[in-house]
Amino acid sequence: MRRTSPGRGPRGNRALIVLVILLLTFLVFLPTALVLIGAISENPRDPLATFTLEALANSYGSPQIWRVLAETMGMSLACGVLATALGAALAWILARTDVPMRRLFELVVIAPLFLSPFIGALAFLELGAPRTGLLNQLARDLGLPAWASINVMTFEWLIVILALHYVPYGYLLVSGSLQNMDASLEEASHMNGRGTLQTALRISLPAVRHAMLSSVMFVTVSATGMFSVPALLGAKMSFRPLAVTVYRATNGYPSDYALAAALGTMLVLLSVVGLWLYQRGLRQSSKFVTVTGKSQNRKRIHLGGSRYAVILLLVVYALVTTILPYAALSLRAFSTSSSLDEIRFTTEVFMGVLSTPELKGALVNTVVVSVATALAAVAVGTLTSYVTERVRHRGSGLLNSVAMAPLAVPGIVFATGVFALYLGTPLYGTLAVMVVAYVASYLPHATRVTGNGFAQIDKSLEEASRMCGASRARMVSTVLLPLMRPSIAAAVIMVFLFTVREINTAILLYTPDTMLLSILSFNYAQQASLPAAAVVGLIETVLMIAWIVIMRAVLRPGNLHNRV
Amino acid sequence: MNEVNGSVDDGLVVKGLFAGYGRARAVSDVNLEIGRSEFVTLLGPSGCGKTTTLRCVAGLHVPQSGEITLGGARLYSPAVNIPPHKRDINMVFQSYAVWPHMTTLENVMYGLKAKKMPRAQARTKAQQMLDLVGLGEFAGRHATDLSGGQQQRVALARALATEPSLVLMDEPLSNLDAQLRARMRDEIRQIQRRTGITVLYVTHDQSEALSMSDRVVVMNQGVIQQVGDPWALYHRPENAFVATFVGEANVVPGTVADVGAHAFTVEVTGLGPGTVLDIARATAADCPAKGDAISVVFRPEWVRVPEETGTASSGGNTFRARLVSSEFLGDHFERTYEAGRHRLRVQAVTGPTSRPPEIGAEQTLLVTPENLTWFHREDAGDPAPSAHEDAAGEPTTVLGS
Repeated sequence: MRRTSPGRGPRGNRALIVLVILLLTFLVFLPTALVLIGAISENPRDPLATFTLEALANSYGSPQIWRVLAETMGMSLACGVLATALGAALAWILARTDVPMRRLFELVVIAPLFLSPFIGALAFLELGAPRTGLLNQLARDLGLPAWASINVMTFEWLIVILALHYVPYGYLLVSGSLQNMDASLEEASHMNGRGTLQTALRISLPAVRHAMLSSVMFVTVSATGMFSVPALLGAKMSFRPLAVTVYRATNGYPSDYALAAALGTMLVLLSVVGLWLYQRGLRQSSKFVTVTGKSQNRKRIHLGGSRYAVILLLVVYALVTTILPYAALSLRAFSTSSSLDEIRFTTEVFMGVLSTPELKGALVNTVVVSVATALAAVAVGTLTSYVTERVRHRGSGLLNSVAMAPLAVPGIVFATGVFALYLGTPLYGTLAVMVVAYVASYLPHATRVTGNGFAQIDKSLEEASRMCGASRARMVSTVLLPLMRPSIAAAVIMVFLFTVREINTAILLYTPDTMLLSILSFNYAQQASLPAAAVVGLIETVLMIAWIVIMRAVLRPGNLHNRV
Repeated sequence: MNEVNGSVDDGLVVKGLFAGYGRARAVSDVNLEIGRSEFVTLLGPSGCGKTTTLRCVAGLHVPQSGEITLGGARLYSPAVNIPPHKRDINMVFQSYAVWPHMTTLENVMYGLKAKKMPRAQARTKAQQMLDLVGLGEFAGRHATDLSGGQQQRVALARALATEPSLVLMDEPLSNLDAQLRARMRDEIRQIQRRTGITVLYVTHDQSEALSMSDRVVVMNQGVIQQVGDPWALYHRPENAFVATFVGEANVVPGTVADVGAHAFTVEVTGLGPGTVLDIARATAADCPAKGDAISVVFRPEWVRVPEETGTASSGGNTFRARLVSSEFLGDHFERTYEAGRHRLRVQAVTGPTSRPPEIGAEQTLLVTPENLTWFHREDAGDPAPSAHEDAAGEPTTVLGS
C-alpha cells in the first residue's frame, strides 16, 4: 500500500532535492572524482583518455613519500593537540571563572581568526627570523644572552605558529560544549565534596572530551592540507609537508599533475580517518547537552589571588597572537626599515603598495569573490541542510555526507579536481571558477552552521504557520528565514573570513587577471618584498572587520529574541 | 453509540485511515465522524496513534491510505492531498509553537494576513481574539516574554482567529502545571461552547478527556477501541483496555450461569470456588445468553466493606477477600485485596467508629448488582475450557491513574 510520499508539496520537494543533487554533483562530486581519476590519468587536459599507474607507484611506492606522510601526520597532530589544549584551557577560564573583562578577553581569544595564517606566519618571520627578527634585535639590544634569541624557521616553531592560529577553533568547539553542559553536573560534584580542580578534571573534562577530540581532528585535518605556512617557514628546512610536495608537483617544472593527484589521494585518505573521528566526537559530545535551554545562572569560580596569573596568561596570549604580529606587520608597512635602530615612520611604503594597479585589481577581485562565495555557499548550504533536516527524503543523509566531503579534501588537492573539470571551458581562468571551488570548500561549514540552526528551530513553529493558512513559500519567508537569521549571519561572516584568507585552493586556479589579495601576499613574500606582503595582510584584516560590521548591521543577528 | 450530533456533511469524516512511519504502522483502519460544533477527544496512551491521526487530518503527515473529508470537501484520498494551508483547519500545538520573533498580536494576526484580510481589520480581529482569551493587554509583548499558560492562550487565540471549520488540539495542556491545567480546561471548553467551533482534541489524560469532551475516542496501538460519550465510556466499557484505561477497574472473567428477568448470574471461579455475582439487567444495554464468556467490571469505588460501614450485606454480591495493603487518604482507604486468583483494588469509605483491619485480615466485600457492568470477553469466540482456564488464571488487569 505504500506509495512514495505525495503531499507536502511533492513536486516542490522533488524539485528541491533534484536541485540540491545537481548542485552537489557539480560543486563537490565531479571535482573530487576527477582528483581520484587524475591520479591514474596520463594527461591532465584529457583525464579520461589514457590511464597509468605510474603516479600511484611513484607516490604510494616511495619510502620517501611515506616518511613525508609520517612527518606531516606528526606535525598536524601535534598542532591539533596543542591548539586544542590551549583552546580548552582558555574556554574553561572564560566559561567558568570570574575573570574580569570577560567579553574583551573572549574577543582576544578569537582574534587570530582575523589574521590569515600565512600573513600571521609572515609576521612571526618578522619577529623571530634568525638574527634579523625584531625580537632577536631587541634581545641583542638589551644584551640578553644568545640562547634568548629565537628562530621560527624550525620544525618546532612551525608547529607552535600553526597551533596558535588554530587556538580559536579549539576554543570555540570546547567553549560551546562547556556552555551547553548542565550546570548541575558540576554543582553535584561540589556537593559531593570535590574542589574546583577535581571537579574540572573529573566532571568537566570528561564532559568535553568528545568536543576536544573533534577539535584535535578538525585542526589536524585542516593543518594537513595547509601548504602556505610550511612553504614560508619551512623554506630552509629539509622537512616538506605533503601539501607543499603537492604544490611543488603542480607548480614546479615540468608540472606533474598525476603525482599531485596521487599525493592528494593520500591526503584525502588521511583526512577521511581524521574526519570520521571528528564526526564521531561531535555526535558523542551531544550526550552532555541539556536541551532545556533554560538560562541557568551558573555560579562562577572565584579566582581570588590567582586572578592576576590568569590575566597575565591572557595578556601574553594577546601579545603573542595579535599585538606583536600586527605590530611587526605595521612596522613593515609604515617604516622604511625593519631594523629597530632605524625606524622612521612614513606612509610611503603603504601608499606605494596601495597605488599599484595589481593591488587594486586584487582588492576588487577579492571582494567580488568573497562576497559571491559567502552568499552562494550559505545559499547552497541552507538548501542542503533544509533538505536533510526538513524534507528528510530517503537518501538525504547521503546528500549531507557529500556536502561534508570537501572537509576531507585539502584545498590544494580539491583545486586539482576543479582545474581538471573546467580546463578548456570558458569558465577557466575566470573569477567564477574560483567562486565555484570556494563554495565547495566551505560548503561543509555553511551546511553545518545552518543545519544546527534548523535543528534548533522546533518544527511545530513551521507547522503552526501552515495551519494558519500560509503556503510553504510564505512560511519560509515569514517564519523560517527570520528565525534562521542568526545562523545565516554567522555562516555568511564565517565563509567570508575563510575566503579572504584562502590560499590553498586559489594558488592553482588564479591567473594574472584573477589575482586575489591572498595570492598577492603570497607572491610578494616569495619575491621577498615583505613590506608589500604586510600591507596586503593588513588590508585583508580591514576587509574582514568591515564585512563583520556590515553584516551585523544588515542581518542584526543579535536582535532576535534568543529563546528560539 | 456511533450517533453523530448534527449533520455529518458539515463535519469531519475519516474513513479507513492507515498511517505509519517507514515500516512501522501507527494507525490502522481508523474511522471517525465529527459533527459541527462537536468537541471530540482522541484518548490513549503515548504511541497509540492519536497524534498521528490528528496530523493526518491536519495534512502534516501523509497517510498510507484512507479518506478524509471536511464539510463535504475531500482533504485526502489516494488521488487528492490538499496541502495543510488550504484545509480550513487550524491547530494548537503541544509546544505552543508561538513564534518568538513576533509580538503576541502579530502571532494572532499571522493567519489573518495569510488570508489577505486588510491590515486594520486583521488587527481588530486579532485584538478581539486576545481579549477572548484574556490577553488583551499583552498585545504588544514579545510572545516569548509570556508565561507558559499565557503562551498557550496566544496559541489558542491564533488558532481561533482564522475561524477554521475545525480546530485541532494536540495535548495543549500537558506542559502546564496541575492548577493551570484545570483552569485552562475550563476555559477552552467555555470558549468552544461560546464560539461553536468544532474541536478534535488529543490527550493521554483521561480526566481531561472525560471533563471536556462531547465524545471520546479511545485508541490503543493504532486501533480505535471504543467511541462514546464520557459517561458511557466509564460505565459501559466495551473491553478490558477501555475499562482499565478510563479510570481504574477490576476486571474479572466469568461465565453466565443463569439469566433472570431483572438480573443474570455469572460464575466467577477466579474470585474463589463457587463465587457467583448477580448483575442487574437494567444497567446493561443488552443481555448475554446463558453460557456466554464475559468479563465483569467493577470500579474500586463501587465496592463496600460492610463490616466497617455497618451496611447490611443482604441484596448484594458478597465474597471473602484477604487484605493485602491499605493506604489511608483521609476520606477513604486505597486498598488491595486478594480474592481467589485475583488482586482487587478497593476504595473503602469508612466511618469514624470502626478501627481499620490488620493486614492479612479476611473480610467480606460487597458489590451490589447495580454496581456491576460487563462486556463480552475478547476470547469469547473460543469457548474451549482451557482458554477459559487461562483467562481466569491471569491476574486481573488494574491500570488507570
